[in-house]
Amino acid sequence: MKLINIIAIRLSLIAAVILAFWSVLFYYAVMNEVNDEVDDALEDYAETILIRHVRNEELPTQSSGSNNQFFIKEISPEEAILQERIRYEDRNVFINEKNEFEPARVLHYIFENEEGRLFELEVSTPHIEKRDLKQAIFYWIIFLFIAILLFVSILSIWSVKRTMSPLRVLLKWIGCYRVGADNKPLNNPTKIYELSTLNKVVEDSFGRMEEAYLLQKRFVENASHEMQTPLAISISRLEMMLEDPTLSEKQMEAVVKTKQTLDRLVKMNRALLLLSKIDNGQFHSHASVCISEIVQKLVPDYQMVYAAKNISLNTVIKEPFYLNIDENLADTLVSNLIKNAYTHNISGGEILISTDKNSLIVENTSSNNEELDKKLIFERFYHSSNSRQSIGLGLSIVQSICRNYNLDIIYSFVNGKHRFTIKNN
Amino acid sequence: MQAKHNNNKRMKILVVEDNSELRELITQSLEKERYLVEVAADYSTASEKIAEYEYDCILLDIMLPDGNGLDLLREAEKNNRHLNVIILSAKDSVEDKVAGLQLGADDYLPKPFHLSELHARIKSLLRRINWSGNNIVTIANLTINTTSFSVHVNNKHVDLGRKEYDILLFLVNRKERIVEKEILAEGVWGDFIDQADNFDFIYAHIKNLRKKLKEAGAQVEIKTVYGFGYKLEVL
Repeated sequence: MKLINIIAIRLSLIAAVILAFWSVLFYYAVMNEVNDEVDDALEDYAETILIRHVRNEELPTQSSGSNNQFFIKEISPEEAILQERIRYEDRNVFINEKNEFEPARVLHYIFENEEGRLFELEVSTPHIEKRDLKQAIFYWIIFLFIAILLFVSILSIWSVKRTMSPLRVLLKWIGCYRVGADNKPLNNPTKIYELSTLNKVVEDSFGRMEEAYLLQKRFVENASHEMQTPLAISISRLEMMLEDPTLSEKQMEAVVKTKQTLDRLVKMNRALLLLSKIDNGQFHSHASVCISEIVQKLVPDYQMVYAAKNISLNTVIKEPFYLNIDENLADTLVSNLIKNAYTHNISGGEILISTDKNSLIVENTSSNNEELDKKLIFERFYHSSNSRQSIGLGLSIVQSICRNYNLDIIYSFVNGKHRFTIKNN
Repeated sequence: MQAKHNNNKRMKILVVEDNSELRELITQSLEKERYLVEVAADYSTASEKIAEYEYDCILLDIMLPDGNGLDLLREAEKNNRHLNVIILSAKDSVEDKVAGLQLGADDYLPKPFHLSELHARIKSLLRRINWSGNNIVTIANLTINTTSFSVHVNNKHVDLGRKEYDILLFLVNRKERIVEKEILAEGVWGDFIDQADNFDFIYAHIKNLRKKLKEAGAQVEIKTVYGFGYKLEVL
């Protein structure tokens, strides 16, 4: 949910609660004031009538056009005791002139004349209609509510848009950021303290991340380099040992096996170095390389090498596939994919390599008919359960090459076959 | 500058390598091959020796404690001297290779390498120097012309397949040494071969090669060394 929407919803909820309270208070305040005024008027009116009544002057006509009415009736002292002397009430009163009931404010006034007789004077005046008032207040409050809502929304959209624009710039920058890639510097000046702090914090932490990444890369590179000489020494020693004619077959075999293990280590080392070189962007050369030709060049060798596995390999060149890539890396790319298709295959299995204008597809029968984990297969040293033989860097190298040249590498599992597709991005 | 060497003269090689263990190993191995070996552990020693003596071949480590091995090449270039150099580098980088070869190095061998590979490279370098350009390898009554890729036994042409030729040359360059199947496969087919779990395909080629050599009456034999390798021997 967008920040603007959240702000608008929160503000309108608060406004709704406040306005509800306020409307109740407002209603009672208005009613109070109105009653006060009306009561004063009623009292004056009652007084006039009372004075006239006491002086036995002529009482005003029933209403004198103001819809005011009065009644005087004599009451017994018992009745008088039960009632307060002055009492107000709101009641519907029948107005003769209009010939209908109307809500009215009524004043009961009990008084005693000179003869000691008790009278009750009832004066009434049509009153404001409460329901109408309530309704009016309700409608106006709703109107106010909508107005505030609109106002708040417009204001918050405007202010969020204005004040948050550095945040959007920052978010976009973070979104485009690739660790280890050539990133643009963050150009996001802002006067807002929080946002400028955020800029700084993000830049700092990305800087640290970059440093850690660089250190890790350098470490792999240095470690691989440092291992070269000791490896060279060990292998050379074993080689010299093999020249000793007094060695028995068993001893010789042991030496050769040790040497082969070391050779594997050398290969792993070379593969790691190649990986860091690709990741460091040390391959800059670009040439239009025909991938289909490389496939055709490499396939016969592989068929020969893996002849014992009885794998049938089909190459379908629908159209030549060209990539703008370093030539050596193109070889490595195709070669690793084909090797992968052979080593993770079953005897008697199949491999299908096809190219068209936009892609290279290498497909092979799966050794256990299970889809591989898309996230893990390109990881360094990832081994699917049955292949301890491989170094586990081939596909990482493929992925690094693709990343370096902005190519898409897609793994999919189709009809029980592993499929790797390379596409121009 | 190089005079033609006759076969009796021992070739002189300078090993420039800062790691003492590796230096000694290389020296030992070269001496076994009857080369005259001198060593330099650092840049200044190497520089002095090169200024003073002539070497048929220099094995040069690039990263030395007191300088970059490539500077030796630059120095020589300035003095208009050509050195026959094989660069040994722990840094298997294209840039180093290109820079080295541009500065006049003859070959580039990334560490770690096999001694047999080193010997093969030295032999091929010395061959290039001594028979300038005309690349003919002779062993017993067998002649291999590496320019025209042709093989003759007693001046009679032997028709070999491409892989058979490659295998023969690889073994000849490492004669009298055990060459493991894996190494042979990698040398002939390429690096990718490393994961093959079966090397039977080599055997088929070796079998054909043996047959052809025998039919031609070559005085060399490819011997199988136990289960893991081959060795080319002069009969």
